[in-house]
Amino acid sequence: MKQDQEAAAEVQLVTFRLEQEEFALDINQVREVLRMAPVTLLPQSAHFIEGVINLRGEIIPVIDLRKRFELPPKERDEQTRIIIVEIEEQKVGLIVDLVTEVLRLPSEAIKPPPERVVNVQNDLIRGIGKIEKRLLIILNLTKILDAEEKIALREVIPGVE
Amino acid sequence: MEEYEDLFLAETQEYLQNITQCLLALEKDLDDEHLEAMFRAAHSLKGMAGTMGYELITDLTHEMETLLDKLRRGEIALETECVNLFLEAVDLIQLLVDNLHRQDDFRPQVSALSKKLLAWQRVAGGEKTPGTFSPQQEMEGAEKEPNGRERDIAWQKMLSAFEKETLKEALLKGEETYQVYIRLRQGSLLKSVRAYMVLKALEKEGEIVKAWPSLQALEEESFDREFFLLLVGMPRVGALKETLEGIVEIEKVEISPVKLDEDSPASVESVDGAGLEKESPGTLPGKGLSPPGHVVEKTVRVETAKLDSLVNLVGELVINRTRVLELGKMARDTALENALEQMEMITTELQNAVMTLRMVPVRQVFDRFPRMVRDLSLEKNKKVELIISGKETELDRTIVNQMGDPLVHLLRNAIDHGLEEEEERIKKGKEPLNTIYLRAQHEGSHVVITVEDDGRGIDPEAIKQKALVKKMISVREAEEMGPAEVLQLIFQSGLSTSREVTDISGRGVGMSVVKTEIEALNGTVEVESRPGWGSRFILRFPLTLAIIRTLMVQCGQEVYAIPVEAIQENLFVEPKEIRTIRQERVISLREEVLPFYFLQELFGSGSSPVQEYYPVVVVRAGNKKAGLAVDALLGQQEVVIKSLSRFVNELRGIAGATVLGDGRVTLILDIAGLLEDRRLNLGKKSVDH
Repeated sequence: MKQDQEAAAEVQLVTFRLEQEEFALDINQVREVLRMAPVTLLPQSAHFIEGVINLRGEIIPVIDLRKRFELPPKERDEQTRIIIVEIEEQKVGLIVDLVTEVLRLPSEAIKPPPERVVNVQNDLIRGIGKIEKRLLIILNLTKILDAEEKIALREVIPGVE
Repeated sequence: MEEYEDLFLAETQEYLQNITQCLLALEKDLDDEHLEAMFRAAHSLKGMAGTMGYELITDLTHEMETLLDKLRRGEIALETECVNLFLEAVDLIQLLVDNLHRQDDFRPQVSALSKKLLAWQRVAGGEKTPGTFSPQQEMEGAEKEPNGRERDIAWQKMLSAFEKETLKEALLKGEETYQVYIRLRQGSLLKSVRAYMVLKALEKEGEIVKAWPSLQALEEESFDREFFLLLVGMPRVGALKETLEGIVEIEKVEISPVKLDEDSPASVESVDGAGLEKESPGTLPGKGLSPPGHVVEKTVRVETAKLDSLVNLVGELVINRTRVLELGKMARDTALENALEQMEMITTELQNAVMTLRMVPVRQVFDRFPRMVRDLSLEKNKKVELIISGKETELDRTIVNQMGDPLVHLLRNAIDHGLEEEEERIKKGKEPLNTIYLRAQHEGSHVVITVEDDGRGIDPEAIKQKALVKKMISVREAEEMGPAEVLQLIFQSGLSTSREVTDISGRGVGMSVVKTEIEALNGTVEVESRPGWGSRFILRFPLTLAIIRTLMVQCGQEVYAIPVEAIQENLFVEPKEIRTIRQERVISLREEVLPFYFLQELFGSGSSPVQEYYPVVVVRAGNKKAGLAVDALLGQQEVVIKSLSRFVNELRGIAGATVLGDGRVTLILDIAGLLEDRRLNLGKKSVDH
């Protein structure tokens, strides 16, 4: 009972790192976290779609979040992870540099996104979480995966192939 | 309630389909069997809608039932207008079913139609003859409308367990049950003698299971002037009726089939059998010990999602089996290998068994067509007969569900453009009636569906001219093309040969859409025609979509699977054999010149290394062919097709993906899409190799 009440005022987040920034996803949208797996390339798909992987027989598209956010590419290493998220009954993998932790954050610690944060498009961000000195960029998953958003991003950022 | 909604929807579809079928059959030939069947369907529908609280559907079906009852008693003739009215009701119910949560929106339509139905009942009108009474009605104090189902249930209720057993045995022998209704003349004397003569006549044709009033009452003359008998056997109904009518003092004879089945949901309805003798099973002879009328169910309804998941899991199992077999071989343990071999056999059988679960008869789609053809032919005022065969041919559920649209299009096309006016046909010495054949049949691992009409056919010259005008082909191409090739042009967009654009077809986009839809199902379509004598469209579909045979090819780092269906042959090509015509590479294959591509370039993932020989897969989709160069051919394999996520599924040239034995995902090529899309990509890439 007590937990329920707390849960209402709290958000549980999975945090991960890309470049120097720390990002977070609502834990309700996260299904599991995998080590880097062999990816089959998808020709002619959006540039940030890395390809597809086999998750226990299910074929799941994988997005390279670095590419999604126009960050420079980085070698995959021991720490590279695929976060499997599920939205609208579709599973999608997100490739990130490193998954840091799972934490609880009081709702009031989440502020609306400022005009422009790092190199990330504004509407991709749900809010900014603050714990002590850390700033967490909480992502708006639907926007990240939105097919129309893909086009929008292409239009916004010139030079995208 | 919501959990029953799916079931309700599924069953409603069936009932509506039944009603439509019966109607169309009745329109041709008014027979009791179809009337009864239609009545039952309408009644069941009413019952279900009532239980679920869909009041508008209940109202409509009730009116249908009442009107049907009049038909059944011969008070009205089934005129086209009346059939239309019924069909209108079916459509409206369909509409209500499709919009279960917005019932009230349709209230005005329902009440308008109800009025029309009611008006027909009045047309039928007339006074209510005593002959319309049924035991049911008598028993219930004539409160309810007489109706067949309730009458049947009333009979059911009256039967003792022993009588039911007798009936069941008779039914097993293929005998049928009839209600015989007899009415004597007013003031008739010696009623018991008349009754006796009736019984005698009946006994020649079958067995009298039950009488109402009872046989004793008939003997003692303690009845008014009508009685009902339940006859089981194989009577010659017409002859029997004549005999009975020949008996002096008999005013009216009615013989109608009765359906007694205990397991139907309708019989659960509370029909209060007031005044009926109740039998306790204990007093019955041995036969009655088992619960009467318990019939083992032959089918079970399963949610399609569950089926799909089962098919998927078995697919997984098969893939995993390959991996286990490989491991087993490495272990070099004979006992293990034997066990694995056994497992391989069982899983193969399991896979086959599960695949059949996905198969459904094409009837599910074909049954829609008689109604459609009827409506269209009335509208176009062209007389046509639709002859359907091979309805029970089974195909993958996905294909059956999706082949409806292209078939509708082909049929409409046939009616709109193919069919001729009666005078035109007579002049040509053809039968006055147009015929459209719709056939389904197996052909190897395919199902072939043909839509054929005996109308005016397609004139290749007209198509050629049109294609020239639209600049779809050059004058030279036109000269070189044979009639068969010219015909295939109708599948290209922008070409329509109809003289007029109607609301049905003729906008010049139709056939290309048909082709795309069929190819999306891994099918192919061809057309044949004899000008003046008709056309034939031949559709070929694979039996199943879930598992296909593919050729694995290596291409750079990736392995792709090419459906064997789309492969004509494999060959090796030396670089010097590749020529360039108008900036496009081609190779020669016997007499043909084929476009030639490096698969890797088509996918924009770099160019292939220069090799002494290129392995080339000659692929075809419809009438398009091409040579695809790959790095290596890896051999054939059966794969389970999985769809890509909808976030990425608009990829042209990719039909889906599959998981190989080693767990890697391999893309399955969609050759038709690839060949159509190729220019888009090639245009961007440099073509120097």
